[in-house]
Amino acid sequence: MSYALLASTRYDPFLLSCAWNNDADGPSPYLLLHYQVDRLIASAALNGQALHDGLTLSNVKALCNKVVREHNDSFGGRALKVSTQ
Amino acid sequence: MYYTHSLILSQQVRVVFNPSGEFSATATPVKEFTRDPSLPSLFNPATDFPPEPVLTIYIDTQPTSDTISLKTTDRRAYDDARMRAGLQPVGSSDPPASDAPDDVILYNPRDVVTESSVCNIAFYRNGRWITPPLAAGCISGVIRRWLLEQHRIFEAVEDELTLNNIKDGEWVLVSNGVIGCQLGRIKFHTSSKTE
Repeated sequence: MSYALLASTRYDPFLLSCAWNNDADGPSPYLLLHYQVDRLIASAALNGQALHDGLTLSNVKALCNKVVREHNDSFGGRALKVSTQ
Repeated sequence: MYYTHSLILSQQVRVVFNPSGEFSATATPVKEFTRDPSLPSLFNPATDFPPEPVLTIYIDTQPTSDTISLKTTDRRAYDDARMRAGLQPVGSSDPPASDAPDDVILYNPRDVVTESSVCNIAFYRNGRWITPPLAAGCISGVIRRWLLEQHRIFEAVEDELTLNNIKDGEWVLVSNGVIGCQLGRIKFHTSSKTE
C-alpha cells in the first residue's frame, strides 16, 4: 500500500456551542472528531491494515490538541493575518 | 481578503494514519465559524433564502474510475478533476484560473455523479436532499454520515443521480469535516482542454 489513511477535521471554539457536535467527553471544539476516529478504524479494517491500540478518540484528540496548541503558541499571541480565500 | 486575530485560531487539522500504525497531525489556520455549520442542510430551495456563501460548482468533463469510500493521501483523481476545472490541487499556493469555480463534481463511468474534489454532495429531489450511495464511488464522509443519521439527507438508489438529470443552476449541498455544510449552484461549462 503506497498511501496512508487521512482524516481532515477542524478545531473551532464555535463548535463548543453546537450540542449536536458533542462526543463522549461533552462539548468538543473538533468537528465530529469521534466520527473521524470511527472512520479511521473502519477504513483500516477495510484496508487490511492491522488495528492499532493507540487509535482511540482520546489519543487522536490529544494529538490534535498538541498540534493546535503548538500552532497557536508559535504566533505568541501576535495578531496573525489569515487568508479567507 | 484578510482579517486579523489574536485569540485562539480556528484550524484545519489533518490527521494521517500510516500503514505502520503511526499517526501524525498538522494544522493550518482557517477562518472561524460564525454560525452553526450544519444549518445549510436545512435549506429548502423552493421556499428559503439561501445562506451565504453560495459556491459555484462545475461538473467534471470526463469520468473518473475507481474512486473508493476510503479517504487516503492518494488524491490524484481529485487533483486531476480540479486541474480540468482550472483549480489547483488542494494545498497549492498557486492561484486558480481567473474563471475557475469553487469546486468540481466527479462522475463515474456509468455517468453517476459521485462527490466533489473535496466534499460529499447532495441534490434536492422531491422535497429532500439526495446523496450518491457509497457504491457509486464516494468517500464515506463524516458529515455525510451525520446528515444521513439526522435524516437531513437520504441515499439515492444506484444510478439515480446521473449527469442527464443534473440541471444548470440547480442547488447542491456540499459537506466535509472541515467546512461542515455549504450550498453551491451547478454551473455548466465547456472545458477548452478537451476540445
